[in-house]
Amino acid sequence: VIGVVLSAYFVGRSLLAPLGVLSRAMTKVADGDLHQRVPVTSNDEVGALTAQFNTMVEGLREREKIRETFGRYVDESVAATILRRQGEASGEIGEATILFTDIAGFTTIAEYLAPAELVAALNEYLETVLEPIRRHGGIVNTFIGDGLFASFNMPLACPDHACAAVQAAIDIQRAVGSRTFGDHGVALATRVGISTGPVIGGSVGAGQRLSYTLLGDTVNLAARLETLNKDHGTRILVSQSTRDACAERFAFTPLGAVAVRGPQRTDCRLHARFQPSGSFLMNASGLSPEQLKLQARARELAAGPVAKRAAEVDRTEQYPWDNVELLKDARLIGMTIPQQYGGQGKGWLDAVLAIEALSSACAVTGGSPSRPTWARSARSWPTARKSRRSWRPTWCCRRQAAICITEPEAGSDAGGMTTRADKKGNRYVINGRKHWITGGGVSRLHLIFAKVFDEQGNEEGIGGFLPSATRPRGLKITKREPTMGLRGIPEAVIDFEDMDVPPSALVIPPRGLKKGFADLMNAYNSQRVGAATVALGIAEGAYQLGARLVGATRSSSAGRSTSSRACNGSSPTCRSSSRRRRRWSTTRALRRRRLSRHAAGGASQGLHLGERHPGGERSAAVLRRARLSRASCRSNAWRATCACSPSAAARRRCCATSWRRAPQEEAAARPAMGRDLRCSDVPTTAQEPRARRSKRRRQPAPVCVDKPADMVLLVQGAGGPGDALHFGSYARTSSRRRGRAARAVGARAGDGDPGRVVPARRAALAFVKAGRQRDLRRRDDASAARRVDRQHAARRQPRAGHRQEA
Amino acid sequence: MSATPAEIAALRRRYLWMALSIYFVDLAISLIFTAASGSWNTLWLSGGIAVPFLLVGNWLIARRLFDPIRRFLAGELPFEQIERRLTQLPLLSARYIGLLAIVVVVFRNSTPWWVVSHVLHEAPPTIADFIVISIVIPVFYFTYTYFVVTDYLATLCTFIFERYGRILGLFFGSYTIKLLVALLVISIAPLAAVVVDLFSYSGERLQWEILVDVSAR
Repeated sequence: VIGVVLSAYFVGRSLLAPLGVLSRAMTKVADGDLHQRVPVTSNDEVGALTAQFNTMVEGLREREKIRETFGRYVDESVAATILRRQGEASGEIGEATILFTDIAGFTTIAEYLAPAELVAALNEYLETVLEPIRRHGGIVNTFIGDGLFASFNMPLACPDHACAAVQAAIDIQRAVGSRTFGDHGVALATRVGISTGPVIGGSVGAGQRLSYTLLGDTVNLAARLETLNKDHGTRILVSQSTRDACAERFAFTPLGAVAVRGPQRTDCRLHARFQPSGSFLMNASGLSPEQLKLQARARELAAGPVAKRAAEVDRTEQYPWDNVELLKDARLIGMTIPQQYGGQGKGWLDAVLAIEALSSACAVTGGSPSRPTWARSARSWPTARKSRRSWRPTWCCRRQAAICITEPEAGSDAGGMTTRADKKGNRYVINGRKHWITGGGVSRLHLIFAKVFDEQGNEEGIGGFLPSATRPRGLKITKREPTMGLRGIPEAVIDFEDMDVPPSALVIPPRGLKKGFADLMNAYNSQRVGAATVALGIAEGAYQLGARLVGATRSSSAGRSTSSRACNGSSPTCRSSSRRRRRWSTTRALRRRRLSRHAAGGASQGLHLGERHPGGERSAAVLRRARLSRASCRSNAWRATCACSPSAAARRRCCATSWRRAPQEEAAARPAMGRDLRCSDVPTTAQEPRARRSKRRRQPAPVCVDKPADMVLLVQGAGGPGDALHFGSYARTSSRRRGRAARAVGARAGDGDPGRVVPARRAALAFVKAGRQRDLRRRDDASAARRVDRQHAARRQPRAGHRQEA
Repeated sequence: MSATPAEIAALRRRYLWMALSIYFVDLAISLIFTAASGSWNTLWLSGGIAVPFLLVGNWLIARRLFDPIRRFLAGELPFEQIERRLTQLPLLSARYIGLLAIVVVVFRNSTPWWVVSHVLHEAPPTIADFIVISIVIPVFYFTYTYFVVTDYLATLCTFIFERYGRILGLFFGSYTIKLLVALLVISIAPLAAVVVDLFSYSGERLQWEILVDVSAR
């Protein structure tokens, strides 16, 4: 008994244990773990089997490695299919849905991004686009520059492939539209074309270079549809076959038939996809019906009373309090204030929509809803909460409180702030000076940031005071800075001389330097979203005005022949150049709009400085760029509110950048600050001295700032510090260009004297010159020689007409 | 990462214990036999003969068998040189123990013939029973040792695989033979001993012999 029991135990262990180990390893391999390797523990058939198992797993591992490496260059599914067919993927026909994507305006983006930044942004973008495609069962066949070609149901089976492709396209649009890419935060708009039908799949190539690809009419049609998005202004275009395959699962908008090349597709019906049925209703821009109504309400108000008063506001430099009342009646103020404080409790996107619409007509009025946004954070202010009956945020909104932070010596540097609030008994006494205070003098409330000291003279940090009086004793508006844009709201210098405030006015109590700085920045943060949107509105207004002017000029010059003149790409009468201008401006406007809404989304979620945005981007970066765009667009304010007739403005626009004059002439022509500034202040060709005019005729006129939209914006540019910095930054963000422009005016970017016109004009001319030089460098010697010949010919025949450089 | 000296010593110690475990099995069988027969006065003889063979001799042999493997673990020999020894370790260990067991069993069963009977108080076995016992018990010891060392070898191979990344590449064994031997030893060998007892003895002696065979083996 003893012997049998002992023997049975060890026999069982030694004979069956290796089989158990092998079985467990096989299970793991079946689950995809190819790193299994089993020790051989016997010299019999089980040991041999174990060794063979190890060899097999090693082979599988190597195959997987090949597939992975291969899969980096083609989709893993394709790689797996080709490997499964032992490298031979002969032609096969099947039904599939083909999806093409491409980035709208990528050539333009590629021009102003450095190669490394461009590749980084592009890789991020492609990663974002790939994810939805793979998630819905599609495979990426080829990357074509900034676009890609994906297929569903071939070679990887994908049931309901048409719906999967459309859903993938929707997800792509959502993913791409909700974020920016690269370090510069480039927004990339994507066009998608989808078509369903029979395709031929197989390895194509010669010699050792083979590529798995799909061929056929369906592929060509999908590529064509992607391009047709440009003409239809859509983002997702699907063919009739795809639309039929999707049945009622998605809502499509029929766009009619279009003739495309191909043996059987002379009449192809197109459909644009906007939203899946059953989900909440959204339009192409992603706005809800309520937001669209709000936007329409704001636009109606902007086009009506606000637009009528815009020029008057700039001319009289009077803050439009009546417009504020209109906004209050239209429920466009206090939108972001929580309902428990009397606000509407709306998100920042709602506020941004209203601000953008209003700012396109009048930047001063448009900024009104955004200016008191700091009050939204009143709920986190303990002192304010205690007395919120009298300090309701909506009440603050209507009084358009001015935020007093910037100081002559410290700027916005909170650490260098010199304004101080000393506690004396039960009161605080504020002394110091603030400058560039927007709304200083007209605002009925002032939020004053100062360093707080206790009775012993110990510093407690930075605190925010909100005196209840409209003009408290001790607060003096010393000076109103002259500005070219946003003239309806003053940029003032404010002095505080023994201004006595009660402790209840300390709405942001000092919490040390670090936290005080954070409070300060938080007060800024939400405001910057609105400020950036004001800039966006200004740009949009300028663009719309420009587009109308171009249309008017074109119609007025319809009788003239333009074929006799060579177009240099900037002529307002040139149809192709205006189209290009419109496209360029639209791209930028869309980009800015997305940025602004992106920042609004962050602000709605209570994000502050340095916090991570859900889209993967730091809100600080968004806000920083938003501030940049705000400043760069300030120069448009004058343009948008100019009192000149459209035709006069259009006449002057094309010649303004080519205008040169001597410094004394320039000084004489410099518009006096404080008076109405019009387009006519910019001299036209007719106002130039004859000698200079004839000299200019002999030279190629630098009328083209390689992107015409710059011209519209920068000619009137100036009015704030750092115009040299912001010059051109609206159009592009190349620091090299900004630096070049800044060097041209002999000052470091950002150090410009506010209100000066000259630096920006000089920068403009320098920019034009730099652009020309760069263009010349690009051309080869032969073309340069031809140009010189043309110049000589023009000198010999001065009356031959104003020939422009082609 | 090679094995540490402590790990090598532990592996060697474990092998020696596995190899010497047959001595304790033999001692247990001897005790059962003695208790069943009541011949406690012969325990010194049957137990004493096992000490030089199954304990000392076995220890020396096992030590020698494991030495190349120890040297491999210590990094003194390449794997190729000890691979055959490693795969044959169960067989060699079992073979030597089988040979030693034959000596021990033959000595024990032959004592009634050449030792004075009044000392033993035991009747000599029949020739058939003597032959069967001399075969069955060494075969059982062989089988037991083979599978015990095989079980140990699995642990040793796993250790070598984990530490040295080496696996066995010689496969000259037969799973069928192992299975047959195991079946033979577990089922047929005790049965054969009982059958021989049935034909060799009768009466009270038969009852006693069957009792010893069934309980011990």
